[in-house]
Amino acid sequence: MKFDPVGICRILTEEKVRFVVLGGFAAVVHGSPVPTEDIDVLPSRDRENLERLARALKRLNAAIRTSDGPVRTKLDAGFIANMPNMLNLVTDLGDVDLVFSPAGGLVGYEGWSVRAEFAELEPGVVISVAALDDIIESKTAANRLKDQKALPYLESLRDELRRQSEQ
Amino acid sequence: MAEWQNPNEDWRGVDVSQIRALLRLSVEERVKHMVDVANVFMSVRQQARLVGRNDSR
Repeated sequence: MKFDPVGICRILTEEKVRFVVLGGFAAVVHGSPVPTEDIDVLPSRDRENLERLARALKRLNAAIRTSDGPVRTKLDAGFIANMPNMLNLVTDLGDVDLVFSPAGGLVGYEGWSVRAEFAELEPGVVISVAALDDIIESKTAANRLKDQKALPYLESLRDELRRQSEQ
Repeated sequence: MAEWQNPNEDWRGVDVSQIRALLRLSVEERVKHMVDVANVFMSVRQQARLVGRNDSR
C-alpha cells in the first residue's frame, strides 16, 4: 500500500473539511528530514464539519486500524463525535490518525488554528499546518521515546529557520 | 573532531545539510520527496529479506 498524504488532504479539502495537520507530516511540510508513514489530522468537532469529514472518510474507504488488522464500521459523524481522544484509521491512501486531544497546552482545532500556517501541497490543495513551535511543544509534552528521537531534528530545523530569517 | 563524527552535524547530532537541502525545495517538492522516502522505507520493509550471513571464516 502506498502512502499518499497529498491525496488524503485533497479529498479532505474537496469535502471542505476544516482541519489542522499536526505531527510528523506537518513537520515535513516545515522542512523536517524525519519521514513519517501516517498523517495526523485534528478536525473541528462541530457537527457539520464531522459530517463533511465522514463523507471524506467514506471516499477514502477508511476503516479502524488495529494491531489485529482493519475493522470496518460505519464512520459517520455520530461515531466520530463519540471518540474522545483519537481514532486510528487505515485508508486506501494510507494511515490517518484523527487526533482530538493532542498532547500539550493547546486545545482542539481552535487552539491549534491560532498559529497554524497555510501550505499548498499541490495546485488547489491548501491545508492548515500546525506551527512548528506548537508541534515541538506538543511532542515535548508527550515525551514518548519516539518524540525524544524526533525532537532534536525539529529543534535544529527551528534553529535553521530562525537563522535563515535573520539573514 | 573525532574520526567518526559527521562534520555536517550540529551539537544535537542532526545533519543540518539535510535540513538546508529540504528548505531549498518548495513545499510541494519537499513533501513529494519525503513521501517518496516513506514509501521506499515501506517497500523495503515489505520486500527485503535476510538471505544469509557474510561468514568469511
